[in-house]
Amino acid sequence: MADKSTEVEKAIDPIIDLGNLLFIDREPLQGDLNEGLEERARKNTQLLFNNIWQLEQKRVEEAITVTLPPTTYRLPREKKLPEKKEPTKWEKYAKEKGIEKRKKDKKVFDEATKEWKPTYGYRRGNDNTKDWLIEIPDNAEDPNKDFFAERREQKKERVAKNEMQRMKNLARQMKTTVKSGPSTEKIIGVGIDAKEKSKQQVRFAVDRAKLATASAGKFQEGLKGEKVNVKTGKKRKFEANEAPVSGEKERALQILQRMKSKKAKIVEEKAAAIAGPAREQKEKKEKSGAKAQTRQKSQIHRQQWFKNKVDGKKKGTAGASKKKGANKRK
Amino acid sequence: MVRVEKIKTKKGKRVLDERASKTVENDKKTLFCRGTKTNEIINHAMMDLYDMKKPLTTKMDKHNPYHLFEDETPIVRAGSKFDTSMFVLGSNSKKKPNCLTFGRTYDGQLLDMAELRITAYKSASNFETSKMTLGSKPCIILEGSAFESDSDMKRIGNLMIDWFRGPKTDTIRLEGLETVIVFTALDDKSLALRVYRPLLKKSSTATPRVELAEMGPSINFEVMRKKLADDALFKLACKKPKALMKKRRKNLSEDVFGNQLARVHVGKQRTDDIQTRKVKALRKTPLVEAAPENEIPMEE
Repeated sequence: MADKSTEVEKAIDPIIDLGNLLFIDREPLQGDLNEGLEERARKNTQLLFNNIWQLEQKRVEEAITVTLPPTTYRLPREKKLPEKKEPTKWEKYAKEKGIEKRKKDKKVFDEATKEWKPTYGYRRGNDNTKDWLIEIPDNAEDPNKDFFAERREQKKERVAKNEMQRMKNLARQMKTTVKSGPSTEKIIGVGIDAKEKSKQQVRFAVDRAKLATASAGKFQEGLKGEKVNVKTGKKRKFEANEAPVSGEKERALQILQRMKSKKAKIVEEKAAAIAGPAREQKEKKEKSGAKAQTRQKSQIHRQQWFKNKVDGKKKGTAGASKKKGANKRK
Repeated sequence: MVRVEKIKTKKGKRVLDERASKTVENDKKTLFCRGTKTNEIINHAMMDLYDMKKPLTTKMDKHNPYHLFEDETPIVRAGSKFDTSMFVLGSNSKKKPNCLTFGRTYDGQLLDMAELRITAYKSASNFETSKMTLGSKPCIILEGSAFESDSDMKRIGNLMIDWFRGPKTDTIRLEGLETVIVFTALDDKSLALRVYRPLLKKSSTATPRVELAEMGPSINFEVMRKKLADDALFKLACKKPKALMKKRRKNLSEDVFGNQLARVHVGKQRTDDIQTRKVKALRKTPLVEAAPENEIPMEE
């Protein structure tokens, strides 16, 4: 090639991001678009390489390398920005007291077997839950109790406690409190969360879902070992449209019988009130010349209420005399 | 999201840590996926792109009935499964022949997606130049004023840079610059993709003269449908973590010539404590104690 110059001129400054090895030519394209592609590309590459060659070069094992500057062209991230993690209760405490984490060895020397064994986990060394013999302490309250089981229980308790603390730390991170049972706050129309459904509710839901096919669940096969739905609703059954008359007569009589056997429930006071005041009183009042009065409805209610109250009192305070109750009220 | 379940194995923990959001992110991986139907052109084009992207890729071999502009969820879901945040879907149909849909996701949701129809294609195997080394970082060149003037085209340019830029590095070997990917916006609707290998020739200066040899593939695209994120989401996605931002130093500025100007505050000088020249005349004389009165006449 005759031309060996490395100079390229641009009317508009291009955007060059060496961190990304990126070159954005901002000049409008001129001439035949397809023909000039390679020549334009060559010029732009030359310009980019000129910039790269100006960076500080360093020789690393026979190769010449350059250190790229930080990127400037903005590209979107892949994931959200990491959230700041709330320290656990222990981490907070440790920081306060200046306690630093000390690393433990992965293996410990097991005195019993004279071997190096893992510190934690399966077949760990110095595992006191695996002891074949426990010496009963002198001050034991009950020497006959199962000391092996006690150790196992204690280990289980420690694990459970740790899990509980982990959950509490998580709750603190999420800024919520640990829920003790199913939530009481329910949103109308959403229904119960699947996790909080009782066994029976799940059962009903499964049954309903099974019936919700085009053939009303007729061809729905049950799972292996699944219980058959026992509590299906009763299906209404109607009499045939055309039936012998004899049956109809019987049925009508049955209904009549049922209606006849019903007795009205009569409240005495109400009945009395409706019937009007007693005859004697009526005569008395006529004698005195007072107006014949029928008791008003509100009066009846008051009397009933009072009577109920006294009855209730009697039931509630069995054995207490009426007088005592009156005194008390005073 | 805080994970409630305890991680049970060390390997599982490693996998989850790898996938967790970080201040300095991993290199974006790309999912290659084929649509309902593909033809030879699409298959070859996808293979060429696959070779260019190689270590940072996942390929789904079967055809998938994905119609991304109707429902993008399956590819987003697949992306979250394979931990790939970029994808390309190749499809060929009567109405939309030879289409490649390039896209990227952010935080488990679709960010940008552009359907590009191949109008002219020449496979990489048609060029005799040796192909790019596995995992090398290509140079990317964008040409054409459409990448500046047209907002959609600008975003597509951004997508292409993101898609092709390869692994992040801070040092490169100068001989390792062996791929140049050039995008030319022929107009607002069409793009040309060319891939070259730069040949470094001797020149009169320290920088070599660059000649290009086409390496392929060479594809001309026509922009068909697109679904680009609105500016708010895009801005959110581009947010830079605070830890990576340079802290501005107070009272420091730079003038036109690149000189640093700063205001320096000098504390109070403790001249009493500073060691200075020891001259007898400057030595502090100890205070003379008040002498008793009766001794005064003796001195006289």
